[in-house]
This record gives sequence, structure tokens and C-alpha cells, in this order.
Amino acid sequence: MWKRVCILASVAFWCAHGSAYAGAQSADQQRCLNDVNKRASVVVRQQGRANFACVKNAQRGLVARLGVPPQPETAAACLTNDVKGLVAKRIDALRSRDAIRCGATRPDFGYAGAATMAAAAVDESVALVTALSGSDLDAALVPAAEDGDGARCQRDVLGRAGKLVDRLWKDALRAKKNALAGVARTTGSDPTAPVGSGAELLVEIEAALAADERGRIARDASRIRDPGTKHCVLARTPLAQLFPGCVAATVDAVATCAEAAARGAFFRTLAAFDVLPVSCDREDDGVVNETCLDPALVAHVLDRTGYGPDAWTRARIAALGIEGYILEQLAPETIDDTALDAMLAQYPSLAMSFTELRDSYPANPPDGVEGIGTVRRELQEAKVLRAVASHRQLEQVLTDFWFNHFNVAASSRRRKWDISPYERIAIRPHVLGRFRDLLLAVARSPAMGDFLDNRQNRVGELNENYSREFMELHTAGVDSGYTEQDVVEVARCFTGWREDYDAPDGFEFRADWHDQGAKTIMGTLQIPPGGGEQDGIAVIDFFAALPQTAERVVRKLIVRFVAETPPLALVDAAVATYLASDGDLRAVMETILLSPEFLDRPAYRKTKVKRPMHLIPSLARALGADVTRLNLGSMRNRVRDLGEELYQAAPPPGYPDVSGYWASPGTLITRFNELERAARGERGYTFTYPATDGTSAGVVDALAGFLFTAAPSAETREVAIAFLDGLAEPDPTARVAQAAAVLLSSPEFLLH
Amino acid sequence: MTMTRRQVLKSGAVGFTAFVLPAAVGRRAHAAGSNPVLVAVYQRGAADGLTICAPTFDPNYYALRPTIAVPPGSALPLGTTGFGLYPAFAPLLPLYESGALAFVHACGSPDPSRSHFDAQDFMERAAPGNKSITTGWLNRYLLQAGSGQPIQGLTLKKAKVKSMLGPAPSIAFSGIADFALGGNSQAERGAALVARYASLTGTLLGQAVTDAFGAVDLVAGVDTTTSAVYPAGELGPALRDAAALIKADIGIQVLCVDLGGWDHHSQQLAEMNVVGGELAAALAAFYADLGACQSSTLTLVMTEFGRRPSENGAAGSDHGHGGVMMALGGGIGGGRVILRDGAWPGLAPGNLFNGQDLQVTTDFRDVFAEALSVHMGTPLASLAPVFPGFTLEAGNFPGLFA
Repeated sequence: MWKRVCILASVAFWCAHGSAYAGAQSADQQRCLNDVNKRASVVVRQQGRANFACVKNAQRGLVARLGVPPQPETAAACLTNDVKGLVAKRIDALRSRDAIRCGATRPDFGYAGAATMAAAAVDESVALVTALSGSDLDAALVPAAEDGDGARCQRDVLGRAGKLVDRLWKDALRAKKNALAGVARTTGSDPTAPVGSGAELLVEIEAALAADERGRIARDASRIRDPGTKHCVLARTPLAQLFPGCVAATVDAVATCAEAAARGAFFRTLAAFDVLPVSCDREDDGVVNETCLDPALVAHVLDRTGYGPDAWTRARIAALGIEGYILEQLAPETIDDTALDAMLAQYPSLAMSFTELRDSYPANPPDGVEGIGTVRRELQEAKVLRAVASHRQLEQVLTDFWFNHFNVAASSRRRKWDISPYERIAIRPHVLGRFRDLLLAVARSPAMGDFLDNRQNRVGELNENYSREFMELHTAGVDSGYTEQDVVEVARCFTGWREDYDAPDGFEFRADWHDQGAKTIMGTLQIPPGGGEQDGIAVIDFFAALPQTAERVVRKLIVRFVAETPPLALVDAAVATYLASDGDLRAVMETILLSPEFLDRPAYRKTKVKRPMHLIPSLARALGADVTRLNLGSMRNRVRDLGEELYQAAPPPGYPDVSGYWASPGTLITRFNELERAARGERGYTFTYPATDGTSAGVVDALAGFLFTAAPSAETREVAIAFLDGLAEPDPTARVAQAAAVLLSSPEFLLH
Repeated sequence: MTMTRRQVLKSGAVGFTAFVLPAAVGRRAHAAGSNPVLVAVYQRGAADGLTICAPTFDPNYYALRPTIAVPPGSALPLGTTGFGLYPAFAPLLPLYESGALAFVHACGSPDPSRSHFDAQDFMERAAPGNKSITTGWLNRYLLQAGSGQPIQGLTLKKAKVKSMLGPAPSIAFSGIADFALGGNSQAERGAALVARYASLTGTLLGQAVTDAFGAVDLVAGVDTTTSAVYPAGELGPALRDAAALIKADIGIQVLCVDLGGWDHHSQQLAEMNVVGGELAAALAAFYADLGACQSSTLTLVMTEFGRRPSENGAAGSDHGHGGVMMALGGGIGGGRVILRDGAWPGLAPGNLFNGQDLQVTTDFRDVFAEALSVHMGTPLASLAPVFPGFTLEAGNFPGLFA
């Protein structure tokens, strides 16, 4: 039963990650699935024929053929009267095949049972008729005697739409059989690996239907238009009256409507037959075109491109559609964020120059004067505030990502001042710009110069720290082929790159510290003597353009945004974009975020454990907490307690971006404790729970709608209901808060 | 390596303790009721062995480090070895003199990487140069000889260290005080979460939550009172909890803690005063606190590589090769600076690895293997999977227990 609930609720989570990864199915299980599915598709075909006969007989006025008394003798009733009993016969065949093939070997996924399949086959075939005729079939049908061409047009369109459904089933069954057996798969990394979950099976079937290798789907779809249109053109009754279910004035529009109805009916039936997580967008017209926003997809997009759904982002994505929303986020300069800017004004240090910071926040402040620690504190709180309240969600995530890539810890005296301008000048302006510009801005920054000691790096007294991390962490990676001598050569190029706090970006090139000799890097980059500051720039240009750098950068982005084991096809596509666009990070992000891997693969959703800096802002957003009353200092401390002290990651690589690091037993307990306190309205979260009827199920369902964008799994719902049933606490308000704590502690909220 | 062993021997005027075959390789006797525990302390950032345990007898040391060598006058002599302890480490001197502490010098990885991250990975996976091995050495050890209960391996940090990563269950938490479900309806909420995640134990998150709740119950009753005085900071509080947990005997077999801040590219001695002082005070307090568990607990202090013998332009040192490992425990034969064959590899230009760094003459895996076989009592034959591609021979062990 839960499987059905899962599909109805459009929740990919449980399907993809609960018990769903079952692994390959045995030969017997495969035979069960293939056989019953084939029988069920015969029910679909038979019902389609019955529909056609009902329509034809009604048009000819042969009322007696519409039902066997006492069945009502109307066209609408005829659809399910099964006058000749042939549909029942096919259903019996399905049942007996189900008992024989599946009685002893229940498949681990993709199996709904004969009863569910039979019901879906009939319901969805009937729904195809209604999609064309509107709710009153008898009124819509044109008597053949009055308008022969109109009547024929109605039948042709319906009949050919039914044929398209049959064609989709034929091809889907072949794809399914192959996918289960691991034959000629087109998705996934191994074409010979049997699919191991419903989500994988769906991807394979959708891919096969989209590829339409033999072209028969396209052929059958085109037949709805031609030659079926002949009678439609000649019909005397207006098309809008012939097909009240379609708002269509032209033959072409009618055909489009019928094709969408057929494809939608097919996918709804497929979802029911095979218990597959078909998105609502696919189910309404068979095409992923954002005619329906799948809540699980909305939640996925908002939880990966930002800090989780909130009211504004949900409304925005509903208005713009998935692709429109992503494209807008990729152009943050077009998004109004003045409300956030006004709130950030409470932190004056954010806008100060290097020297202003030193003057305003002394290292040893007299009593009553704010000291150096204020700079870091304001930056930390501003980071939390931006995550919670900015409409430019992707820019915030990317700023976090690139800061972490070019990590600097605000642990020395200089860096306690310089960390804020570092993010403002070197990181944030470039996160959707060219990687080369980002690299250069970081190289010129006083914060990095101090963190990796390049400010000490001078001719004759080399300091290799920055040079090594520049190649190992910032660009090409440790296995990209550089040698220890290259570490020395790059260090020589960066001699004399130092801070000057009076310069706008804090940079000065000290020619007297620079090694003016010739350098050779990775055997290919020849730097002539006397290049001065240009030596370092040449190194930056060289490393930014390396394919090794492209791949490393792209993989890291994919790990953050899509999957911790990056899909190779997406890596290739994004690397190609990087190299073709001269390292344009906006183009790279567009490739990643509009990829089928990101948008169309439920298996990648809810696979990452939220980082603390994601969990805490997403909590405030899910609760709808009043942003003007947030306790940002407390939130900053909670992120720290969970292991991600902001701007304080001591190792140069920053914090790991892999779930294994964040799914630590100790911090999970701390997470649960924080979520419970927040649910009780502690820690400064101000919000109002929805009204409930006080029953366990009523409380849980109301809270699920309040906290989650996509419905939670049946398991989480049942656990929360059982929790409330067993809770002695009598106070209704406290019961709601405790139920919210359990829901927020579920995998649905801890994962993204 | 241009210098022969005989030449090296000749170059060292002082007598060092040579490797000795341990008297008995196999399960060691421990005090009744105390099970052996291995504690791994990781010095993140590449600690400079030439400052911690300075070769004050070697004129090349002073030649290479005109401003940051430990002056002979201030170094605390380590017996008659000729090595001197950097004064910040003074709290360790009594332990050395009582035989509970040993240094293994010119120790490290055969892999030449000078990347912190690669070298740490190689060491924590006990697989130098091999990036296809991704599980930690302590995890593989627990697979061989662990109880199978998550508490068998504990990282006293917010996240597991890489040594501990792999299929064998283990847990991580930053402190005893934080490791309990708080708030209202604790029992009911705990039961609900256990139930919810029980069906997800095949997933990373489900397993971690399940392990966490199992360990919470064990840790709940641990007595944390102690009279030992630990320094504040990263290591002291962690070792205080480690001592309480070890004394409570709740099934911990291996335990990991970290101390960062060893990457001294500049102002090395000033930095060493801070971080070295913290390490020494914390270790001394920990050892005293262990009480009856001093002998059943072996602590290894390790780092990814040593630092370059020649100083850089910022009164610091860059990444090098051979370093120092420390062993602390009531069961070891300490009070020694252990060198392979008793020989100091030397810092003369011809003696340096790749012309610039201290050689590695003791592979870190031999220290690890001796700890597991002798202290933990695991037969050598079952340790092969812990050290893939490495030949284990008791005769190669440094002889911590000799």
C-alpha cells in the first residue's frame, strides 16, 4: 500500500532511497513483470476497442448496443458496460497470469498486482475519451446522420489516439524487458547492468520512448493528423464542439490535444502498472514541459540551487517554471534584493575598505569600542542572513562554494580584518564570471596571501605554500602532472605578490621582491626573464585554461549540485562548456543545472546530507520564521556546533563536500536536538503552526504541508502518527511542536 | 640514497637504541578487566620532528637552520641519545624518563608526496601512493579484529577521521556532554527516530543514525569526573573524554583525536610553543588520568610528513619527508629515541632524501603493525588486509615493546 501512496504523493524520495534500491531482479521476477505487464497492456487495447465501439454505436443511434439492461444505455455508461464481456475476459487472463507467474515470486520493485493494473487500464483508457469529449460524452458525440464527416472525425481522432497508446505500450514493454535483463541499456554507466530500482527503470523506459529508434511512435503520432484530418476538415460541426475537452479551433490543435491526452494516459497507466515515480509533469500530457510542477522536482531544485524552499522561491518557481527560475537565478543582477540589502545595513563592516576596518575595529580595543572580532562575527551573521533571506539564492550557494574552494580561515590577526573584503572583492563578484578572473582576484587578495604565506614569498627566500595549493587545490589537482620543480617555478612566478592595504583590492606587486629569472612550468609554459608581475598572470592564464583544471572544477560543482559520484556524461558536457567558453562559470552552471542529470533523475534527489550551513538556514525557511526577528548570532553558533564554523575551516581545502563527512553520529544527535528546540520556537525562530484538528493524523498531515514542499514518505508519516499516538503529553501546542520535531528529524529534511 | 649504512653509522657518534625483535609477538597480558585500546593522535599539518626531537649533536642541523634550530643549551636532553626535547614539550620529559614514552625518528612514508592531503590520506589508509584504496587502516583493522559494535571505533571529533572510514561500523562525537538526545519527549522521540531510520540502514544516513542511538545508550552512564588537569583547546578536552571512556570499559578498541596547527611555514618556534605546549600538556594529563588503564592503552602520535631541514625565509620550514612518531603507554619500553639499526640518517647534503629532506628509515606501517600485533594482540597473519601490499615482518618493527 505504501508504494501506491508514494506515487500518488509524487514523492520520489522513498521510491528512490527507501527500500527502493533492490538490485537486479531474478529471472523469475523478470518473467512475472514482463508477462503481467503484457497482459495488462492487452486490457488497455481491449478497452480502447470497446471505447471506439461505444462511440460509433452512439453516433449511429444504435442505443441497444450501448448496454445490456439494466445497464444504462448511454455512451458514457457504455465505456464501462463492457457489453461484449471482452474486457472482463482480458482481465481474467491478466489475473490468472499474475497468479501463475507472480504468486510465488514477488518482484522487489515495479509490481502493483493484477487488481491495481486492471483498474488503471480501464480508468485511464476511459479518461482518454473524456479528455477529448469533455465531461458529457453523450452530448459531445455528433450523430452520423447529421454530420457524417464530423462523426467520422471524432472516431478517427479517438481511434488513432488509442493506437498511439498501444504503440507506446509495445515500445515500453520492450524497453522494460531489456532494462530488467540488462540488455542494451542507454542510461546509466553500464549498458549491460540490469536496473535495480523503479527510478532506474523509469529513466530507461523514458529514454527509450524519447529515442523512438524505429520511428514508429512518431509515425503513429503523426497519423492522428493525417489522413484522419480529411473528415475533420470537411466536418460541418465546429471543431470546438466536436472535441469539447480540447480547447482547439484548428485540426492541428485537435491533433496536438489528442496526442497529449494519449501520451498522458499512457504515462499515468505506466506509473500505476509498474509503481514508477512518474512526475506529474509527465503524467498530464506525456511530455516534460512544466505544464505541471512536480513538487518533488520543485523541492529538489530549490534545495540544491538554494537553501531550501520558502514562500518566495515557491511562488517564483510557480510563476517562471523550472527552467525560467534557474535562468533567473543564473542572472542574479536581475533579481531585486533590496529588502535583504536593507537588513544587511545593520552590519557596517561589510562595506568597509581594508584601512577602514583597521581603523574602526582595533585589535586591542579600549572599553566600549568594538574590536577586531566584530568583523568576522558580522560576516558570519550576514552569511546566515543572506542564506535565509536573499532572493539571489544561487549566488549565495555559489559564494559559499567558491569561498570553500579558495578557503581562507580567519584565524590570524590580518585575516580577521581581511576576510570580509576577501569575500566581497575576490569571491562574490566572480562566482558567475570567468574562472580565470576569480583565480586572479584570489591571488591578489591579502587574505590568501597571508593564509598560504605568499606574502613571505620573495626572490631567494621562496615560500612554496601558495604555489603548491594553487596547483593542487585551486586549479589542476594533485594528479595533473606537475612536479616538485613546478612547485618551485610557480612559487618564483608569484614572488613579490603582496598586500597594500591602501589599494582598492589590497594588492601590490613588489618588483624588488620578484624573481626576474626565466621559468618553465609543466614543460610547456616558458616564461622569459624580466616579466615581473606578468609572470604570475601568465601562470594564472595557463592553469585556468588547462583541461585538468576544467575537469576538476566541473567535478566539484557537480558533486555540490548534482551527485557525489559525478555522472560522466554530465562531466563531459560541462567540461566542454568550460573549455568552449573560456571558463565562463555562468555557462558551466547553466549546463549543469539544465541537464537531464540534474532535472530528470529522481535517483539523484535526496542523496546529499545537508551541510550545517544548509540545515540551519533551510530550517528557518521551512518554518517560515520571521526574518526580521531571527537570532542570527545563535544560528551562526548552531552552524558552528554542527561542525562548520564559518570562515574558520583551518585546512586549505575547506570543508569536505561529501555526505559521509557530515553524517557523523555525534553531530546527528546534535542536529536532532537543535531541530527539536527550533520546533518549540526556541533559538529565536518566530512562526505560527497551522491549525489542526488535533488528531494524530490531522496534526501530522497539517505539519507536513506546512514544513515540506513535497509530501513526506508514508513511512515518515506513519512514524510521526504513531509517535503522537504514544505521546502522553496532553497540551495540544506541545504535541504539535513535538510532531514537528519528529518530521524535521526525518530523512526528508536532513537530506537534500 | 648515496650513503651506505656503514657510513651513516660512522657519522653518528652517539649510541642509539637499535631495533630489537619484540620478546613476544602475540597477545600481551593486560591488567585484569582492561582490554587493549589504541589511541591515534594526528598532528595535522606536518609537525616538525627536527624541533620536537632535535638532533642537537648534528652540526648540519645548525648549519641548515641558522635561526630556527633548537639551541643545544635550551634543549632538554633525552638521556644520552644526543637528541634534545624542545622545551615546550617539557611535560613529556618525566614520561620519557619513566619509560612510558618513546620517539621513533626518521619515520614516515616511503611515498615522496609533499601534499598534506595526499600524505594524510596515504597514512590514514596505510597505503602510500595508492589512491585506489579508500578505506582507513583502523577501519580495516576493526573488520579483522573488532567486536563489530559501532563503539569499537571512536573518533572524538564532530566527524570521523579518514583512518576510521570504511565498512566496519564506528562512531564519532565531539564530546560526551553533547552526545545525548535532549529536549522534550526524549524517550518517545528517540524511539520514533530509531524506528524511522531502522529501515534505512542500507543508506549512509540511516546507518549513522542507527549507530548513533546505539552508542548514546552506552555513553550515557560514563563517569566523567577526573582530577587530571587538561589544557583548553582542541586536544585537551578530547583526551579528557577519551580517558573517561577508556576507563569506563564500554568496548572502545581504537580511538582517534586530532590536533591541527603544525604547518609552520613561518615563525616556527613561536608556533611550536603554542601547539607543542598544548600537545605535551594534554598527553601528560591523559596519561596520568588513565590510571589503571595506562598499560592497556597505547597512544601513537603521528603526522603526515616531516619538514624540510633547511629553514625558509620566514623563520619557518617548508614541506619535507622524514619525521617523528611518538608512542606513549605503560606497556612499552620507552625512554628511547628509536632509529632503524640505531642509525641517524644524517643531514649532510649527501644523506638527504632527494637532496633536501630527512630520509625515512622506518616505514610508519611498521609502527602501526607493531601496535596492532603486540599491543592489541592481533596475530600478524590476520593483519595482512590492514596493510595491503606491505610485507609484515616482526623483525622490521621498531621494537616499541622491547
